[in-house]
Amino acid sequence: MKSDGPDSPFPIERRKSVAHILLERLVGAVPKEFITRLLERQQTIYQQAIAKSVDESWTTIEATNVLPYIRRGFCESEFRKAGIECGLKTFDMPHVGENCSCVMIKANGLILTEHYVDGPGQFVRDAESRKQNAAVNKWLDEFVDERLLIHPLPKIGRKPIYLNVLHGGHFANSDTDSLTIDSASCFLRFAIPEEGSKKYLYNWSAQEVLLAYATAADTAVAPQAIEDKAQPRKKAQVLKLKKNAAGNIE
Amino acid sequence: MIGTPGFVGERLTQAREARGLTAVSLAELIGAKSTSISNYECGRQSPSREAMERLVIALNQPAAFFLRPMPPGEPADIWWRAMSSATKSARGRAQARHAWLREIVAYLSEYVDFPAVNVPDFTLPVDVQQITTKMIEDIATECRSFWKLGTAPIADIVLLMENNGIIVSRGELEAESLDAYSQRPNDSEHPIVFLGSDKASAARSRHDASHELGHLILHRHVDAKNIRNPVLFKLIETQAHRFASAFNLPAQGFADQLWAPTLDAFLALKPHWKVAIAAMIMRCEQLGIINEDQARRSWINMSRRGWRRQEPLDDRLTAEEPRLLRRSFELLVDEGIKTPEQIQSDLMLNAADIESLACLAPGYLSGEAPDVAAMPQLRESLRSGTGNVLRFTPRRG
Repeated sequence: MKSDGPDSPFPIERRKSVAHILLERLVGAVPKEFITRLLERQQTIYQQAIAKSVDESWTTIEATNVLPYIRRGFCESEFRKAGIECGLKTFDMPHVGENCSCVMIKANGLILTEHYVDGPGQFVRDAESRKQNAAVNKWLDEFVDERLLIHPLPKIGRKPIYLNVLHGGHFANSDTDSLTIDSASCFLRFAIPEEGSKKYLYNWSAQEVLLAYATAADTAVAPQAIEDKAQPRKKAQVLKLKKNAAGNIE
Repeated sequence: MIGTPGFVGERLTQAREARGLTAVSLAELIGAKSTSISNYECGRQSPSREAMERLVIALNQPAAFFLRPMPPGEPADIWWRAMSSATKSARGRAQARHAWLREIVAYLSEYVDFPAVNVPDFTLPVDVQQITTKMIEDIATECRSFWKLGTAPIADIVLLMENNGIIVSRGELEAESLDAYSQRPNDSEHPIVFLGSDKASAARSRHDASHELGHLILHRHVDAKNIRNPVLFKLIETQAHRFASAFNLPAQGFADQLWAPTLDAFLALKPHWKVAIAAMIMRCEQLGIINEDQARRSWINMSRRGWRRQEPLDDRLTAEEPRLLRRSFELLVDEGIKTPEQIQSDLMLNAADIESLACLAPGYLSGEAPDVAAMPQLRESLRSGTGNVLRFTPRRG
């Protein structure tokens, strides 16, 4: 397929909106392995957090209470490890209130932080530090409402973008005390919050992002085009009969 | 009473079954006794001129159709993707229409050459119970290699089949329990595949096409008696399903692209592979990517999302349309070999039946505009007034 250049992961035909350019930016800045590693480890991390929360010295109620804090520790640690392994810059950024810190990853102008949320579209809990981070997305506001009308498409260049890496998953069975995470319910998403940190401008599933990698790099799995050879041909005797008929008329 | 000389009772049975009618309901339609219908069908009696006229109207076939002898050498019925729950009426209807399809193919074969049959022939056990899963997986891989498909998604399975001499037709089977069927009468004739369009799912139709291809390849030498044995028939169906899975989702290509066996990942891959999410879950289980328990949870989650009733993207993916029969008729007409009227007269079939079986545009042969449902219109009183135009105030700078 025709592409926009050697570095462009998208064919021109698919470049229809600002969303594509932003996704292209993400795909170009973050190695695919970063995402696959998070996906592969996601359920295990949740399960480890659950195992750590359960203790003989307290009941399931206490375990449920401490679980979010322990899970946050595991997730932040995993996020940092994945960043380091994939050659990305990782930072421990203190929150504005200096009550705790969070792991921040920077990749070619993209700023990523991870957040556990209840659902794929749920917004991250309000925090001053996140609002401040999201302020870098102010320049994006002008594109959002008319993303499909822009032509030619804007040049985004290396402007900074703040992304929330959202993830979560549900227990397999809520009716029992079984504390197993249902792998099918796990999600991982890459969302760009608006400047005021009130809503997401874009919110892609990890699968959508990975498909963008696949489209970009893996030409071997592009659909196998089938040459159209389903053409009937006139039989030789039909041609002969037709010629004879024409001769008789003449 | 004078009957209709040359009346062929089997044609009456065929037309009645094609319209999904019982002898009793047809008798009611034409105002006759059901015994009369039975007598006409088994040749004990032929219909009077009046009864014949009523049969022509009720069954929507020209009178000549009922006088046309049945083609000689009708092969044993080889039926595949007829699910065990298919009703006798549904099967009868499909069988009758299939007979017409074969007559259309035979007619066209007098004037045109279809692409040569190029389907690989593998040495497989005649006893279906000896065909193993590994054999099926290997054969699906070899088929891909034979047709130079690599491990990528196949852009158009129907075109692939037609390119290789398989006649494909697509249309409504008007039965929930019937999805598709295929037949390979003998080595000298082109295999025929019919795909039901009732389920309105392009991904499912592709699976049906590969399923029928599986029958044509895996069960080519299987004794037709096996089909009538429910246990063996079920096994035959399972084998064709496995072939379709392996052919549509090759282990290497699919597993390389699947980053996580989740519903979201399947959904993201669906437009690329044009395969149903349900088929991907099954394939993941077959390949050991997920275990039985994970598969069960995936099915539960599919139900929760309402995807078991209708999968997402089913309304967006376009079904693959057969073109070989349509092109053959177009060739006859465009080259002046036959006029649409001559085709109808030669085949002695209702034009709409020929058009639907050959995937021609409605009205191509009959010249009649297709039936279009009348759209509701505004009452005259509401239409007479002029519309209000809203004036936009210019923005102040």
